[in-house]
Amino acid sequence: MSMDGGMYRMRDAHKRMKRSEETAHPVTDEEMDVSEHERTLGDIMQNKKEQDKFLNRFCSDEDPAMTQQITTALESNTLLNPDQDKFLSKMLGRYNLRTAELEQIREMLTPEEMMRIGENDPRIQRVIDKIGPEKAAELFGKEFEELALSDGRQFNKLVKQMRQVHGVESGVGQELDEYVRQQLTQFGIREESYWEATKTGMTVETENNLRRLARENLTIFGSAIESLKDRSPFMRAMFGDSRSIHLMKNFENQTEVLQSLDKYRKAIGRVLQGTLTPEVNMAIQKAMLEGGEVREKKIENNVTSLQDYQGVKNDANPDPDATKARWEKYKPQELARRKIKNLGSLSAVDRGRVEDEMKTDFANKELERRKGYRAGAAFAALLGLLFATGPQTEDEVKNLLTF
Amino acid sequence: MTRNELLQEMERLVVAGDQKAYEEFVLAHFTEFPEEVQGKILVGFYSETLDKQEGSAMIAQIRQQGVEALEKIEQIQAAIEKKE
Repeated sequence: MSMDGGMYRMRDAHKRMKRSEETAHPVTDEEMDVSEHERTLGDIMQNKKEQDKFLNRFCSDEDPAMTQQITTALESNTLLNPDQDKFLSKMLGRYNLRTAELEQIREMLTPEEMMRIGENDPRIQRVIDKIGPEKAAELFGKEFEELALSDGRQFNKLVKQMRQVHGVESGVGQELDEYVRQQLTQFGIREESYWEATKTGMTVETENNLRRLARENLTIFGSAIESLKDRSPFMRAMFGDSRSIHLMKNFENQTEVLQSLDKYRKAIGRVLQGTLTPEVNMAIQKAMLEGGEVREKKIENNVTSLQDYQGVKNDANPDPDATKARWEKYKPQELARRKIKNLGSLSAVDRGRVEDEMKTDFANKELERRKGYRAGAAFAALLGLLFATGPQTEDEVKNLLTF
Repeated sequence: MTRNELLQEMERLVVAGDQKAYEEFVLAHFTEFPEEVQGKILVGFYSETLDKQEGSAMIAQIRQQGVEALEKIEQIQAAIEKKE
């Protein structure tokens, strides 16, 4: 697909806004200059490779149907409608930001960073030992680019996690446990006082119950932390306004405050104590992931089991015979959708056009479907390899198809 | 091994349900995979590591908040007791 970017140049020129060219680094939160990644639609459309990245991958990941309409309109030199125009403008802003973020991430993924990552994962270390940290950094960079352009959700998830763990030292579990233990002792919270119910074989017998208990305790913990924040009503009453004098003088109120503090201490102590027990610690993490903003929605087409993988093989196996079998199913359905009873009844020109449209449409759907599957480490290799064994381009798929 | 042979062996290991053997196979034959698959394997492992680290980071945050809150409770109690 080749398009003239000229139509965008004029429009882009007056669309340039004097907005801040600095934004936060995706991982470190430091200031990041995005100006060098600022491209206009004109810039993008003039560069075939860039255009492919922007339209066929980045926009397509967001809204494949809209992108297809835009691609068709641009190919036939048809003016875009306002919705399409708005979509492209919105996506351009996101694209510029995403490419700037990607660049920052790539800069972080140095051979030295690979060595650090390897220290936390012996599997990655083994790979680094085989191929070297430089090659590992290159592979990481390419895959991050792939995700940034074609799987925004996974890219954002990884970046968010990188931000979350940035600066947090790992591997000091025992020291940290000891520190919390000391703090609990110092504040008069005895180890056996809380989470007794979580001990194996007592009141909680299943992981689900433990997670529910963790969730409940986290809610109370959250309320206690909120109440003790400087701007909370509780703290304002204690220290922030004239009522505090009244509170301190009034015995009943003092007792009430002390009771509240005791309640908070117990709630906080219970959760801190819980973090010391591996099973409870895990339950707290799960409860936080479920209830917090980092909760990941169930991803459709996520391949996490053998059954999922078999499903992929049934639906999207790129093997030529399997592809042809899907094509044979697709043909009558698509002809019926187009209300064509007999292709032979069309003129040669119309028939050629319809056949090519159907093949193109089918090929795109085949390639698109592959992009839709997501897999964790275990199945990523399997899926990647499965799709690497079949046709990789629209033309290669089309060459398998006959009428 | 050819791609098809790699795929067949991996499928066999997945069907056998032996996660360790599967991972061992992937690592042992890593350089035989196409580069885009190598990248997916590496970032897939990294993603799993981040999942674990993210959990640890959340716990560290909870602990920090908790200890700070306990300190605050101590201060308030001390202030009240002083008044008494």
